[in-house]
Amino acid sequence: MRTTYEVVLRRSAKRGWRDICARDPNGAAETLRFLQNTPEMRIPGKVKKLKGKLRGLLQYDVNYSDRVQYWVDRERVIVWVEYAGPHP
Amino acid sequence: MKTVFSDEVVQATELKRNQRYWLDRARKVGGVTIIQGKLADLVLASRQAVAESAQAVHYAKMVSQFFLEAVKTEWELKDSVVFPWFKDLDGEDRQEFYRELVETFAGCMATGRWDAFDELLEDWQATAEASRNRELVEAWRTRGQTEDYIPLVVADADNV
Repeated sequence: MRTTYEVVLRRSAKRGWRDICARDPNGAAETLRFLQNTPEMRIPGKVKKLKGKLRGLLQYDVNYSDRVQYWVDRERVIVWVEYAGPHP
Repeated sequence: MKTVFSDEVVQATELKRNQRYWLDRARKVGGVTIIQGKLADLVLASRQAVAESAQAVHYAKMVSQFFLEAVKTEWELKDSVVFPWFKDLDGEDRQEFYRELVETFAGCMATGRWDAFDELLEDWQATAEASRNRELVEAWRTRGQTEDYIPLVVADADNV
């Protein structure tokens, strides 16, 4: 049976996500589908695994300028989105 | 030391006479050098093998240039021309990057497949860029407090 993750967003990232939805609604919808269904799937050039002090975080590039950074709690079946927005 | 090409050679005239044999031979042994008069500067070789060699040379140059930069600064490299994002990693992460770079490079050289190397560079570049984002670093430090999160939905900007 396929697992569907609950996806939650850090309150501080709310504005960033709202801006992404406004700029790129299709990209936002695709991002949510990805996070719900296959958040740990590696897609070259699109999904990255952060390292060093940020090891455990994944990055999904919504489009050329926007990304979300998140981690996956397999036990609780939750994807925690910590940041959404453009390159800082 | 074994190199890409064997020592097997064929005269151009012999190649013309027995094309099929020499083409098969080149596929089998990895490469056959063609002699034409006094010249021996051409080779029959697998396209895949040549592509893999070119790729290995490309990455080897990249890694050697980077380590040359590092050695020149006695491992206190701040700005790298090869990896401009390197400057955004802190000391501990830099050490980890050096180690992973060497390990992954050695592994890819052994297999001839470079996907893992590309992934490594992508991941570290993303890490360096993310490290500049103080909001993210702070969020990562204090992660997982349920009350700090809301459900993620896609909606009109006003309703998110």
